[in-house]
Amino acid sequence: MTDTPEADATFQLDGHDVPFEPGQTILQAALAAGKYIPYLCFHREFHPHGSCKVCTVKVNGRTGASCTTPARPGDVVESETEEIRDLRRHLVQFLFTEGNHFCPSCEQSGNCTLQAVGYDLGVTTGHYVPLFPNRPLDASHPEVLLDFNRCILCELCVRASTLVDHKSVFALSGRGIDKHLVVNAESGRLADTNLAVDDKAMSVCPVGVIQRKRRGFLVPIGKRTYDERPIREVAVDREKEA
Amino acid sequence: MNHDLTALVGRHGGDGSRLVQILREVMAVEGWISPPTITELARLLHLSRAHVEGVAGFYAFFATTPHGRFRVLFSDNVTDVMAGSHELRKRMLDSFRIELGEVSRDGLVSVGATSCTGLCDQGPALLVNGHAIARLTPARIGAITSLIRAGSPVEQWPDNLFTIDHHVERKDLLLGTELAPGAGIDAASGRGRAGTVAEIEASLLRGRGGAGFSTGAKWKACAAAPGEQRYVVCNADEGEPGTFKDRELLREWAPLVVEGMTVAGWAVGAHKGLIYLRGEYLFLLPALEALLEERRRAGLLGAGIRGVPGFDFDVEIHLGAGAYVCGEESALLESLEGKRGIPRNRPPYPVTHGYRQQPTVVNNVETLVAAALIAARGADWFRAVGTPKSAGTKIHSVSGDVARPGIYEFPFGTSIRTLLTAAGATKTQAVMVGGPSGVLVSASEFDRRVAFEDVPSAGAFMVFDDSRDVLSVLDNFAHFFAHESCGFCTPCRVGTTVQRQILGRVVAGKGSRRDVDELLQVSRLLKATSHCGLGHTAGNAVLDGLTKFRPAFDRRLSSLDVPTFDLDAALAPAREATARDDAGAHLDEEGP
Amino acid sequence: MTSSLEKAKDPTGLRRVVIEPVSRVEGHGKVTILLDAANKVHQVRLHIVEFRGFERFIQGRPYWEVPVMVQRLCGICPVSHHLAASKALDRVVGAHTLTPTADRVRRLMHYGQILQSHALHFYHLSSPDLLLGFESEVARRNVVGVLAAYPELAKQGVMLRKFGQEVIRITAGKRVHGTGSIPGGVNKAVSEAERDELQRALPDVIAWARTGVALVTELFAKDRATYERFGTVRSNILSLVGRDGKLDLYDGVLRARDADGKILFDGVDVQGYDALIKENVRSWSYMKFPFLTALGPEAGWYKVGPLARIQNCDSLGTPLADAARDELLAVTPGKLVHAPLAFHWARMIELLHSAEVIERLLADPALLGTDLVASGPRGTMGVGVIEAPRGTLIHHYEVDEQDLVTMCNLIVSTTHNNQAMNEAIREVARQYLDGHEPTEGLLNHIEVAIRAFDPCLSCATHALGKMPLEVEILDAEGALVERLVREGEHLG
Repeated sequence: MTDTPEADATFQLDGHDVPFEPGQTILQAALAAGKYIPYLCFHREFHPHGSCKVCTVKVNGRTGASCTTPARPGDVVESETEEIRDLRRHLVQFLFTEGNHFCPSCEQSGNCTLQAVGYDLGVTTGHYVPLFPNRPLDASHPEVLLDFNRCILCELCVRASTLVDHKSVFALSGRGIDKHLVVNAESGRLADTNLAVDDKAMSVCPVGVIQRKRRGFLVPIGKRTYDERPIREVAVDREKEA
Repeated sequence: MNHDLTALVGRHGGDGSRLVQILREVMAVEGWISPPTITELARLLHLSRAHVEGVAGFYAFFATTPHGRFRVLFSDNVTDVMAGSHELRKRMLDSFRIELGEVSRDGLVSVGATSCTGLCDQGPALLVNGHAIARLTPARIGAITSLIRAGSPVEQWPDNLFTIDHHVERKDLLLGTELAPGAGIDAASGRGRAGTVAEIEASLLRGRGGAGFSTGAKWKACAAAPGEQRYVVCNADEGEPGTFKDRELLREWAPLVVEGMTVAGWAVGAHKGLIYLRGEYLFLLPALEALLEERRRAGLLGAGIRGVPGFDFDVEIHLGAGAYVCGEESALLESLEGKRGIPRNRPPYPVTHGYRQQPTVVNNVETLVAAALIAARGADWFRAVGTPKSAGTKIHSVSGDVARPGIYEFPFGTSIRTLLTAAGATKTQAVMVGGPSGVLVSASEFDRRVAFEDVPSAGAFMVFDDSRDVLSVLDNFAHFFAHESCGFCTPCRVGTTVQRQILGRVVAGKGSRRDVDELLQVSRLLKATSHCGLGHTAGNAVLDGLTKFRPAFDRRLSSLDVPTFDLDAALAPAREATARDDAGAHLDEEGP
Repeated sequence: MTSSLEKAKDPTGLRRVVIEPVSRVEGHGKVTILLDAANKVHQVRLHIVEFRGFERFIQGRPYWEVPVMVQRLCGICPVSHHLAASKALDRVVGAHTLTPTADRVRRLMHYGQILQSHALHFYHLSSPDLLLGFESEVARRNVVGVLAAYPELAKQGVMLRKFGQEVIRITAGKRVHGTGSIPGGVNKAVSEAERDELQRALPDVIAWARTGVALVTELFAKDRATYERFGTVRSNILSLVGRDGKLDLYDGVLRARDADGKILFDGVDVQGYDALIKENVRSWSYMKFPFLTALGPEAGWYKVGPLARIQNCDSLGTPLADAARDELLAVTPGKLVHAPLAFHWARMIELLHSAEVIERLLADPALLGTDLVASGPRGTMGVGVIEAPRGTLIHHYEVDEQDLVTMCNLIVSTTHNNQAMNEAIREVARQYLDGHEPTEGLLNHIEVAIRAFDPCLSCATHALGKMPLEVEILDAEGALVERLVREGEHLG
C-alpha cells in the first residue's frame, strides 16, 4: 500500500509487460497498452463501475474485476486463459438469460457491445433457461424510445445523465433480479423528464435500450461497427484515438 | 400530507443523507411511499426524484405500491419453516381469503414473507407493521387475526404479544464478566489513544462479523488515515439467517456495546458513532435510546467524557429497512448515507474512506463488546482463552432441532459436537455453521472445531436432525440469496436466481445430472466473480450439499440423464396466445 | 363449393390414417384420413399443427423494427414479408411514392426472391415426384434421386437458386433475413460492380429458366389426362395485378375472378382488402380459412399463387414468359385452368418472367441512385400487399402516436389456399384412395397435391383467437410417444 509506483512500473498481463501510470486500474492500463480485456460497464470517460464483472481477471492467483483493481508493479495478471474466458462467457450468458435479447430484429445489432463481446468470447447459446422478464417499452418521448428488454444495468446512462448532463434522468430501483432502470418523473414516463437528444446519456448505452426514434436500420446490418471488425480491435483503436 | 412531509424532513434537518430514516418514518405513518410522496421528498431534500425512487425501491420494508393497513410479514428462515410457519401463514391467509403477497380487497391487510427476523430461538415469528411477534401458535395467529379484523392499531395490541424471550444458555468470557459503566473507557483513556490501539492489537481480537480481520489493525489504519472527521460504526444489522446473538447483546449487554464504541472512538479519534440497527430489531430501539440518554447524563457520552479534554464522543442510531446486504460494511455505509445499500468498490477501504468518505471503523456488535472488556481487563485476559489464531470466545445462536435453543458462548476451538451436546441435539444430520453463507457440516465432521483455523462462524448454528430434507433446507437458502442479492453485479444478480431455479427443479424431482453440474458451475461463478461477500458465499451451502450430501441429490434426480423440461410451463406462451387458461389447456403430470 | 369430406357424418369406428409430417413442404403439417372397413374415405383434412402467433410478437414494438422482425416468420420467403411490411409502413411514414432508386432496388430484391423460391420449390421439392414418379421408390424420391437421374437439370436448379440468392444478398444485405428495405425506402442502392456481376450471369439464368419451362410443358403434354384431372377442383382466383392489368408481383391492385374466369372485382385499392376478405377459424387447424366476403364462406374460397396470377392478369409483359403463358392458356381455351399440377407449369413461367424482369431492372440506371428514402405526412395505418412466391401476401398494421404497433394482421399466401388445398386432397382421395388399402405410394398422391400449392405452413400459422392445443411428444427418432389433445372437439 505504501509503495508509490514508479513512472516506468509494469505488471504482467498474460506474460507481457504492461506499463501503467499511478492511479490506473489494470483494465485502463491494458487498454492504453493496446491489450484488450472484454468489458461492458466500463467507459473511459467515467470512473470504473465494476458491476458487469466481464473484465474479471486473475491477479496473483485471485480473481477480480480488472476495471476496479489498481495496477501494481510486478502483479501477474491472467486474462486470456480458458479458465477466465469461461467465467466471462457464463457472465455474458447470464445477461442474455436475464433480459430479452432478440438480436435478429434489434436495431443495435452489429453496434451492440453485449453482442460483440459475446462473439469475442465464443458465446453461441444462452445456456441457461431464459427468464423472459416482462419489461414494457417506454415510447412516450417524441424522439426517444426506451426498450428495457435489452437493459444490462450497467448504469452508464445513469452516470452520464448525472455527471455530464447534470439531469439525473435515469436511476436504478428495485433490487436483485428485479433491479430496473427508472426515469426521473412521477408518471414514470420518459416524456415527462428533461432528457434531450443531444444529452450524453443518449450516446453511452452499450446495448439497444436508448434509441432515437424512427431511425431503424438506416445502416444495413453487415455494415455496422462490429460487423466489419471484432470488438477487440475496435476497442483498442478507440483507446488510441482518445 | 405534504405538510406532514415538510415537518418530517425538517426534523431531519433537510438532510438528504438521512433519506432511509425519513422513508422509514413515511412508511410508519402512511403505510406506503406513494409517487407524489417521492416527488415531494425529492423536492424537499434537493435530490433527484429518480434517486429517491431508487432508494425507496431497494429496501424490502419500503413499499412503493399500496399494502394493507396491516402489513404482516412472516419470517421465512428455515427454522421458522421447520417450526410450522407455512401452516400458520396459510391459516392467516385463509382467514383473510387472500393469497401470499396480495392485499385484501378492503385494503385492510396484506400477508407476505420476509427474510430471517432473528427470532430463530423462539420461532415462528412475524412482523406486523414492523413490530416483531415471536412464538407463533394457532392461538396467537387467531388473536392477531382478530385484532387486525377489528382494525385495532398495532400500538394498542396487548403487550404480551410482543414479548421477546431471553435464551442465554451458556456464558463465558464476554457474557460472564461484569463491568462497571465507564471502566473500559477509564482504562482506555489511561492508556492513551495509541496505547488503546496497541492493547486491542495485542489481544489478537478478530472481527466477529465473519471475515475475521484484525480489529487492532483496523483501528490502527483508521487512526492513521488522513481525514476531517472519523467515525465508529456499530454493525448491528444482524441479517444472517439463524443469527440472533446481537439481539441479546443489544439488550442486557447494550452498555458494553456502547462502551466498546466509545473506546474505539477514543482510540481512533472519532467524535461520532453510529449504530446501524436492523429494522427487524425495532423493538430494541426505545431501550437503546434510553441507554444513550442515560450515558450522556452520566458523562459517558458527549463532550469531555470522564473529564478528559478532547474525549468527545456521541452515538446515534440508524435503522435499517430490510436488506441483508447492508450487513456488508460498505453497503451499510451507503445505507447510512441514505442511499441504496450497494457494496462499494474496494480499495479504498472504509478505514480510509468510510462514512461520508472519512476514515471509519466498522465493527460487529460482539467485537465491540469484546473491545470494551479488553480495554478494562487487558489483552492477556482475553488472549488466554481460545486458539492461537482465534483468541477469545464465540457467541453462537443455536436453533433448529435442539432441546434448548438460545445463545451459547464457548471458547474458540470448541467442537461442534460439544455445542450439539450442550444444546441437547439428538439424531443430528447436519449443522449449518455461520448461516447460509457459512459451512454445511455433516455428521462425520462433528469433531471439527469452530475457529478461524477450522470452521469459521459469524454466529449462526442451525441444527437439522435426520427427519429433515437437506434439499429443502438448501432450497430455502437459495431463495434467501436470490431475494437478498442487491443486484449490483451480474454474477450475483443473475446467478442467485439461476441457482434457485435449477435447485428448485432438482427439489421438485425434475432435475438431471446436468443440473447438478450446472449448480457446481454457478457456485464457482458466484465465488470467483461476485462483487461482495453475499455473492461469494451464495453458493457455499449448495456446494457443500453437493459434496457432503450427494445421495440426497441423486435420489431426487429424475432417472433421465438429459435435461428435463417442464412441458406445462413451456405451453404458457401458447396458452396466452390462444387466450386459454382452462383446465383443458394444461397438461397433467401423468398425461392423459 | 366445400365438399362433404371435410367432416365424417359419424367418426365412430373409422380408422384414422395420418400422414405426418407432410414432407418436402415448408413447415409442419399433417393430413388425417378417416376410412371405414372397406377403405371408403369419410374425411380428409390438412391440419396445420404448429403455432407461431407472430402477430402477438409484433404488437407493442416500434414500427421501424417490423420489416426486419416479421421476416423471421419464414426462412424461405423472408424477403416477401420484409417487403410487404415495408410497403405497409411506407404509408405510416407518408412515403406514398418511393424514390425511383428505392422502387427499383425493392423490385429487384423481390424478383430475386421469386426466382430463388420457385427454383427451390420445383427442383428441390417437387421435381422428384414429377420426374421420378408419384409412386417411385420412396428412398430415391428426393432431390438426391433427381441429382442421380438428371444431373444437369439438378445443377441448373441449384444455379438458378444461387442467382436469386445473390440478387437478394446484393439488395437486402444478406442472403437470408437482410435489412435492405426500411419504411420509406431502402438503406442501400446497388453498386455498378454488383450490377455488372448480376448482368454477367443473366444469359445463363434465362437459358436455364427456359429449359425449366420446356421441361414442365413436356411433362404436362406427356400425361395430359393425369395432369388435368389430378385433384382438380374449381374455385375463384385472387391476385394483385398491375394498374395496367399486366402481371406485377411487387405492387398493384386486387383483382378476383370466379371459376369460369369472370371478373368478380378489379382495380381494388389494397388498403380496402379487409372489406373483400374475411377469415374463418376451424377447431382442427391453426390455419385460418379466408373467403371473399361477397360470396360467403361456402362459395367464397379461392386460389392464389402462380396459377391464379398468370391467368388473372391480362399479360405478363415480358416476351419469353408471355409466349410460355400462351401455351398454358391453350390447354382449356377460354376457360381457367384449375389443375393443381398446372401450378408447377405456371411457377416455371413466373421463374422465366422474373429473370426477364431482373434483366430489365439491371438496365435501369435508377438502380444505382443515391436518393434512398422518401417521407411525407405521418399516417396511423397501412396495408402492404405483395405477390409472394406462393401468392398474395397481406400485411396490415396500425401504429399509434408513440410509434408502436398496436394492431397487426397477416394473411399469408398459404392461408388463402387453405380451403383449396383441403379440397384438392379430398379430390385426390376420391380419385385414388377410395376403396384401396392405403400404401405409401398412394398416400404420396395426397402429398403431391399439397406440394403443388407450394404451401409454407410455418408462415401460415400465426392466427390468434381461441384455438385448440395439441402436443405430441416424439422420441429421438421422431416416433410418436404420446399425443395430448386438450380440445374435445378436435374430431368434430
